[in-house]
Amino acid sequence: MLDLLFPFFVGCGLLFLFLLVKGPSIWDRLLFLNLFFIFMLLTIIVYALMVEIDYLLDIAIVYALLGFIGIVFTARFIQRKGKI
Amino acid sequence: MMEIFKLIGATLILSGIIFQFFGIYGIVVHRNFFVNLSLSSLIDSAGLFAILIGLIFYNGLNMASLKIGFIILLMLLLNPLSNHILGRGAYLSNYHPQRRAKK
Repeated sequence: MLDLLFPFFVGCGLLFLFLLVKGPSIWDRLLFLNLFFIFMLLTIIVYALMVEIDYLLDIAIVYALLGFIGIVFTARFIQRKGKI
Repeated sequence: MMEIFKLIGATLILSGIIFQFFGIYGIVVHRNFFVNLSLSSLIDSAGLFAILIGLIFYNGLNMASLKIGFIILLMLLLNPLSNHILGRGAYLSNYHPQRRAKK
């Protein structure tokens, strides 16, 4: 069952990468980047459960945190036009 | 007994995927940023949590499920915050996408 989930999440991630490139403005790109992080997080978790390796889930935790911090400070940087 | 948990997990995962599919379809159709923002919070909250809770049921109670539970708690706090910061930043830097002309 997990084997069916894995390509779905990878496909959604690639779809959001395509939308990220196409997005009209920078704010849309940030939003699609945020969604790309979510689907990559799900891909890591499903892969970790498929191959039964536990420490991959720690990588998923760190990935979620770094994704959040990246989004927050990029949005702050853009909103204040360079003066954080 | 284990089959029931796997069944519950599979239905939760399926419902999460259905929520995500609605969100993705809405995002592809709509061009307006703020509509996409609410749809992305739909994907984050409804889709992600249903799938992760379904994975916990599907996987049984072991170390991996504890880590997935921690990820759920983390995402419960971080996702609404990142969506809020994106929306506030876009609104304050007066980004108003034009309404798409009705065909």
